[in-house]
Amino acid sequence: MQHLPIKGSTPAESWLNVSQTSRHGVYVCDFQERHLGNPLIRSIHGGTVGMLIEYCAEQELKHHLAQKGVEARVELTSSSVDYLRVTKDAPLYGRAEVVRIGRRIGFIDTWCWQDSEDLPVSRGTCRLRIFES
Amino acid sequence: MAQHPIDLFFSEAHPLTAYVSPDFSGTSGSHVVFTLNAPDHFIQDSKTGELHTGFATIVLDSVMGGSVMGVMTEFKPIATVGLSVSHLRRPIAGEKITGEASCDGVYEGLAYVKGELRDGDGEPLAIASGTFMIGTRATSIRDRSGESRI
Repeated sequence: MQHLPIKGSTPAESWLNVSQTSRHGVYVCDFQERHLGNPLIRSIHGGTVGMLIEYCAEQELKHHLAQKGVEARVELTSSSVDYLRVTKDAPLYGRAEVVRIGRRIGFIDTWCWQDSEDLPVSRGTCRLRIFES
Repeated sequence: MAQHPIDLFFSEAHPLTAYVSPDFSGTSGSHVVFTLNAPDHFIQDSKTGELHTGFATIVLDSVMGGSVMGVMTEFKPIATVGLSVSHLRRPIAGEKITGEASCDGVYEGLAYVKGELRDGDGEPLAIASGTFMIGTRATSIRDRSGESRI
């Protein structure tokens, strides 16, 4: 998958070193030393994985709302992450899926992987508040 | 008094320390307390200075893990199994944040933990609960070819 830089990255996006990929809805966190959680086994910090999950959920909800012509601001209100496998110092991919979009809340699931999409390292469920303008 | 493991985790050797520099004064055993200033590196909205929610998630995962280390009698690797965070309000860059985490119990090698971040007025910013496995892998993973797909 080709990595496509995000235009006008925010400091948070730069810290996460996140890019879009050529596949719709898939984002990648290109590994940096600052993402380490356990330097001894060089695994990615659980919070960094959680941040990518939350980021993917926000982007997917924004994309779906824009496609429906809805002008809205979204705010993540809660996330719940399962850590399925140990991570390593390599790119971390995330793909979000819309579960349901209501008038005020969106429910988005995200899966993360490194070596192969069928070996997920984590999955997350996010709830996001929608503020229509 | 011996140094709490959370101080060792956030020592200068840890890569996260350059971005998040908490003060853990008052931490003891399973109860971690801390103060920090919300760093610029995690700003998501440049107009308001609001940080991305991932900042709270990273800090809470770290300090909740630290509370688990505080109850261990010998060093063992730990790993987050599950983490749920409610983000009530995003902190603003430069804002003083206080927080705490406590490990409420360990059963069958799994530690049950809660944590929270509060603003300078004591209002909650984020509330979390999580589970951590004690005694996990101590070596890096390189090859997953033999792993089950289930």
